[in-house]
Amino acid sequence: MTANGSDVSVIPHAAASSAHLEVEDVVSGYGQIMAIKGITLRVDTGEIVALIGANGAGKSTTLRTVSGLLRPRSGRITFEGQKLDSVAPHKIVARGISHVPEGRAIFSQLSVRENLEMGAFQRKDKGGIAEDMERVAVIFPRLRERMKQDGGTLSGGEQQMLAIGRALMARPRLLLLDEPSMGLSPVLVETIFNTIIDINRAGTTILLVEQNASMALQIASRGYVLESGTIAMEATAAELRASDRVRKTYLGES
Amino acid sequence: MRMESKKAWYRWPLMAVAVTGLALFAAACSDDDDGDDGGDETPAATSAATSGATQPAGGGETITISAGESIKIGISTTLTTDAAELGIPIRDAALLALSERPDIEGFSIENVIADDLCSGPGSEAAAQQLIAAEVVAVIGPMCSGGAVAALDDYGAENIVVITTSATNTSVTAQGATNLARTAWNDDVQGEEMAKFVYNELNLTNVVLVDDQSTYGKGLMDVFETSFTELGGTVASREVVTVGEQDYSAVVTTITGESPEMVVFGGYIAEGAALVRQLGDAGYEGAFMGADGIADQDFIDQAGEAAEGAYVSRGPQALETNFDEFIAKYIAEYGEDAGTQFTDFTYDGVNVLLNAIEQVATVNSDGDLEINQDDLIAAVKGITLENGATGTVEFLDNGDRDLAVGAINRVDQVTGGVLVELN
Amino acid sequence: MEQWIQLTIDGITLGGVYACIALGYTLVYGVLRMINFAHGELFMMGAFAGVYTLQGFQDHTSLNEDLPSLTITAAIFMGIVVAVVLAVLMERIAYRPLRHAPRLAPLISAIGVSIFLRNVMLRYTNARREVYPDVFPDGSIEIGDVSVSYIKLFLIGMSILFMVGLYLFIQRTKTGTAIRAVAEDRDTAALMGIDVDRTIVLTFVAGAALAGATGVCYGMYVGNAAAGMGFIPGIKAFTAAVLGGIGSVPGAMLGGYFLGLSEAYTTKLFGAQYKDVVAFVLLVAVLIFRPWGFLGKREDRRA
Ligand SMILES: Nc1ncnc2c1ncn2[C@@H]1O[C@H](COP(=O)(O)OP(=O)(O)OP(=O)(O)O)[C@@H](O)[C@H]1O
Ligand SMILES: [Mg+2]
Repeated sequence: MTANGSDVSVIPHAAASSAHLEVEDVVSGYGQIMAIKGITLRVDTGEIVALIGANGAGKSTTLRTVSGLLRPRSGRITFEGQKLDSVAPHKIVARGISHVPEGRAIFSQLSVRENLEMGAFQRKDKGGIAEDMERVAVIFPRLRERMKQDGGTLSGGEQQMLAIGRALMARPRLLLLDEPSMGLSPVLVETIFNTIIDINRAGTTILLVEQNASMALQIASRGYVLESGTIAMEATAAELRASDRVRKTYLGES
Repeated sequence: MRMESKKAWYRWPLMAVAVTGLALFAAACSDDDDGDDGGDETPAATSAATSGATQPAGGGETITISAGESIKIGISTTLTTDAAELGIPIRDAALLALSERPDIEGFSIENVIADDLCSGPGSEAAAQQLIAAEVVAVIGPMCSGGAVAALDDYGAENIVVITTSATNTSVTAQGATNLARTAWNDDVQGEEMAKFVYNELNLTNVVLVDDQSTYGKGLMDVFETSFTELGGTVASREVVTVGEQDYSAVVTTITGESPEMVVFGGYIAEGAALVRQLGDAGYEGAFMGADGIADQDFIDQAGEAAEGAYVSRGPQALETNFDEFIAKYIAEYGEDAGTQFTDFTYDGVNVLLNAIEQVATVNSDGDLEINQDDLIAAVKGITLENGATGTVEFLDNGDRDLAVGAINRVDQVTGGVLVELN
Repeated sequence: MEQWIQLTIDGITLGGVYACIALGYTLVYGVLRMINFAHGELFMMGAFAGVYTLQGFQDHTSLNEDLPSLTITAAIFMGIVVAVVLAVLMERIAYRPLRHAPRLAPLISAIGVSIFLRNVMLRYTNARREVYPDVFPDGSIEIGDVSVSYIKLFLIGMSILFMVGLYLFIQRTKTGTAIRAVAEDRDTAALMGIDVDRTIVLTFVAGAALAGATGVCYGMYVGNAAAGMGFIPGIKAFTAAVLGGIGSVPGAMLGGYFLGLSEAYTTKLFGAQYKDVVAFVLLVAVLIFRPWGFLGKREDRRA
């Protein structure tokens, strides 16, 4: 399969049973505006899949539709074999999907600890929650010192850590990450991406939306390119990195 | 997302506050509004469109009621808000009197009821409803502020108005020719109350409290003038707000003056709360109110603190047919409403029906003709013997003629009921 | 001097009532950015539930004399139940269908609910006040010239108790934290697995429970319940909520006491006819310098 500047590449479908999340022909948007116009994508168990595209391509809309904040107008979404479309967002969390929204959206008037507790809202196992709280504190030591502080007083990087930590508190099997590198210094971006790899190694499947396509394609196994609400390309990460079109448009190379 | 832009988020609570502030301010300024907007439930004037009556606008023309149509009598009283405690018995008394005279000259009599909210705007709205329903005459409005406001509306249509409960002097002081009132004028009562307190009880230092209504404030104004002329001292004048119930700050202010008596002008709900809280605060002086609280409800609401309170009932005719009236009222409604306004209303309706009987004539087509000027003259010139409140005659200004043998009655709450002194 | 102490107590009594009602406005505003203008009617309905409960005990038992603490507790409980049930219905029927309508729509709907409830009770009571049976022990505590009746102490104490209870609920429980999360960002709260609709209902429930319980205590204090009794306290409490910073729980409490005290002092200084005018002048003055109220958040962080 050659990805150099040509059309959509097709990856042979893996066995259906290994498909974790399947999005088929989904149309979704806001009011009259259809931000995504029939996209199909798949995330297999254990994978990191990158979703890249220009501003306004529909990446966030895709994630918001999967996590139930938006209702698909048509198409099907299944997670672990079960239909997901038209399920309320809080029930989707219960099914094992956590969504770290764009811009972190931490609760600024809740303390760091309360933010993390909200991440575990549906869980009843006090012991498990305490354990996970500890695990998050190990992953992000800076949060440990700031447990009692209001979320709003954290720096941008700390907020991103909190947002990811908070999502982990639900013990998701699929993590949707929307631009975790946004607004962070290069060093911090490294840290965050390493953490993402760690989280994935620990068993969480990840669908990663990124502007920073080069970083995303380094840690992802496969990727999709979204253009104006439709999937323009679909290939392994290595193939996408090698593609002229991706290099020109999304990796900023000439 | 429901994010508001930086500045906009507080704009609208600010606006809402401004609006409610204005509403409260308006309520505080208007004479006689009880601050309650619950007036959506006005029993509508029922049959405006289909009447065969012709209603000339102004100028004392003749109303013609075609055969088969009915004579419509409007009732403007208060059916919602706290003042409905008096307004509903007034309506009931009017309906009782109407039911006793089903027709005049073979023309049936129909009532049209409008809720006047005991307020100026409410009474004007009620007037418009009744005018639209083409009533021949109106019983009401219930409250003084409302009567003052609505008189012009009725005057413009030359409709005769008999108020049976708006007792403030200003009601008859307007110079309206189409008005008569079966209830006594507050001036007489305020003066008599002052004399009673100063001469009979020998108290010289009082605090006056009113509910800021035309009636309550008016009565206390007269009391203050008379009491001061007699040589008494009004230590301070306080007000309570209708619709509220916690008057402790007013009570604290009153007790700070250590008066011998607190005199109240207003209605049941506020009077009862005031007495109760005076009691809670350990006030041991006397209390006096007027006909606005002359009701068992006042005693029930005020509880033990009401014991010993004086209640001026205003002038009372010596010879009345009250017993006969109240027996009929109880037979119809189960209990005595305990307010004299039912009696005034019963007489007011009978004055009106007698006057209509005097002037209504059937013409050659079989239609009933009532000349508006004749009707007004007949009401003003009436002598109603054996009324529930004695013999009813009117002065030129529409006020009840006191010359027809009356005394001033004062009750005292004794053992949980009103008992006439003497 | 004694008089000023007395007035301070008067102000705290009424202020506590305003504060308890204000909390309901502020909580609902927090999660829905909507003023529930029918909230004052929940206070009124609570007072009616209380009076009917006590009247029932009066008519059928001698418990009002023998065990007033039980009947009073039962009355407060019924006040809470009735207010909560009504609040849930109100949210379901009148507000939720309008969640995505222009802002004015739920506001008008709320005014409609308010008028409806008031008139239902006017009809039901024939515009008469229902008198509370005399269950509370008479008497007062005297310190020098200052006298505070037991019932007043009770009202002061209960309002503080209710407020502390609500504060702990909002600050310390998981549901309370969820209410704060929904208030700040509904979508993100949903992403945490919080059932937003349910949390909104619980917010109404919390505010209603407080209003209903306060209604019963206030009714016992003034001695009656009436259809119109929620109107003015409702407006005052709303003012208190705005004064304190609408959306802020401590702000509502502060605003309530501020307003109560301002009314008490103004009554003495200028007469009761000016207390509302003074209160609104203060309100405008506060809002000019701090449009977000005493303790409100400016909310500019999330813009
Ligand atoms: N709440 C909204 N209402 C209306 N249109 C919206 C809304 N949110 C996004 N859009 C539109 O939908 C389209 C897709 O937006 P989306 O947020 O999915 O883009 P994106 O790929 O995530 O872009 P970015 O990289 O800038 O985050 C855009 O045209 C955007 O203007
Ligand atoms: Mg985006």
